[in-house]
Amino acid sequence: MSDMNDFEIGSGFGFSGQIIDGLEATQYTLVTIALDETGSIRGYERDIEQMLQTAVEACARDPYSQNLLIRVIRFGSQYGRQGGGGVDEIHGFKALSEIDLTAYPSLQGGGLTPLFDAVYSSVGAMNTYAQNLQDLDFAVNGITFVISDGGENNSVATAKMVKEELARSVTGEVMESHLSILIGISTVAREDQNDPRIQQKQKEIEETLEQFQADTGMDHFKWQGDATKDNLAQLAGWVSQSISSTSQALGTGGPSKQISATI
Amino acid sequence: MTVKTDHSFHIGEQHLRTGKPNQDYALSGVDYAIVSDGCSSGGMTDIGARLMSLALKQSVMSGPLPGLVDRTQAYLDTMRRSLELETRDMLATGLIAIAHSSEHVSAVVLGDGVIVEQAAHGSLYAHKYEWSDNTPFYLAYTQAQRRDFLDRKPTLTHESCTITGPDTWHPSRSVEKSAFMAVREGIEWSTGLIERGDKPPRAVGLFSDGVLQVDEVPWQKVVWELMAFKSTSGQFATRRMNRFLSGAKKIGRGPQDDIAMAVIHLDQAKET
Repeated sequence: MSDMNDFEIGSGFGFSGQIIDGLEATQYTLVTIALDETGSIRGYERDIEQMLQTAVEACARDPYSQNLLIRVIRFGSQYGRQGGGGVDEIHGFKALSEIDLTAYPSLQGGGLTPLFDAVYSSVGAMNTYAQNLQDLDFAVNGITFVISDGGENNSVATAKMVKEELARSVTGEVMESHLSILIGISTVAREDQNDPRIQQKQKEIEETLEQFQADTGMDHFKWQGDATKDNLAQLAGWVSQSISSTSQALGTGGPSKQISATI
Repeated sequence: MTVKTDHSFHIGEQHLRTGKPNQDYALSGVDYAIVSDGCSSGGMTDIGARLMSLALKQSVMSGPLPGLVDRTQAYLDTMRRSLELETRDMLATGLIAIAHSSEHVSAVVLGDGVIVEQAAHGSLYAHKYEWSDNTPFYLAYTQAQRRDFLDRKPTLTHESCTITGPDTWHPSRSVEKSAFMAVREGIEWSTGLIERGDKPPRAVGLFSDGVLQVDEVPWQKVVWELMAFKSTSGQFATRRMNRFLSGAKKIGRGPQDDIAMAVIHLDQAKET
């Protein structure tokens, strides 16, 4: 029998999470990692997969690793036919011990960028699951990472829906604290990183994503630069450290200050 | 028989401020719940409280309720000697509740504390046991200390209270119990002894006297909040205690004394 439950966020978006009655600890840090799987990441898929696996695997070193529930989604317009916008859930909120990294699917870049859908699904699911935990006296906080190489151009969710969920996530009513971080990576410099046109294109992507973060009310924007192996490995380490800081901040009444300091 | 048990304990503000350890302890198992409170003016009573809980656990697992006090005392003596502790390290009260069936729970109080029965309709029947001068009897006392204790003519008061909401309660009665009997056999309590209509109770909670000292919160409200379980899965009492503590610290300074609770939940079908 599956130990996962299905939940509804609204507007056709859903998610899964471990059956709450089966949770043993008294407090949890919810983590969502949303990965861009649009056409522009083509050629970088294996490196992004490796980044994801390294980040999740490194969470085992967190002293509160047993208090983590991690959800991983990917987004691209190719998933739009499934309902719930252009989002595909690789797995719902799961304890680290329940996650089988070898079962992670291979990414295959294709389609447009439903960035609103990605953020709406990430934060909406977190709010809904956190509320369920909160109602049963669990202490909860959360952190959301949305990793993208391009701006919004194909969503079902609206900016208003995204803003509302983000605003709800930081009221302190559903979670003790929540941090949402948009991470920008560049996938345009395959050939000549010194080409001024490439550099201009990178600058435009960075500015587009920075504007998206400001417009939606996400807490932070982090520009990671070129999606090289080294940069992605560094990103994996930063993501797992941020998760660890968040889990250690649970009970203090606010988010980890360390994360803001490292952006 | 379907019962669920859990327990929780937390350091109070006074011990936190003065760098002393938490001297309350709690335990629970398949069909039992235990709470213990170490004497503040004793020795290493944080250890004593834990040993009292373990001794009560051993007693309940090794024989019937009659004789539990004597067995517990014997276990405590053995533990004290093997750990080379002094009597003053062992000064701790103890409360134990045992579920005999899904309808019947009995309890024994060795010292002081609060027992709460949650009726099927939600009201709480609370029983507070307090000794005069806030000086409870300790099972670890030597024979000479027992004589001295009784020579002081201590009084033991049993105050009953019906709590029907977070801010509504009325005292039922207050009676003086025999100190001599309480020293010899403990104070016995049972769900079958109170008026609760024809339905079995939902839960029985045991509390250390820390519930009487939560800043700005009357003890009746404290136990009401601590018994307001949202589910009975996992560490349900710990979650309730943690949520209560964060709320209490918004109202006042929270628990001044260490606080401990242990619960036997009998009727899962009545979960809210």
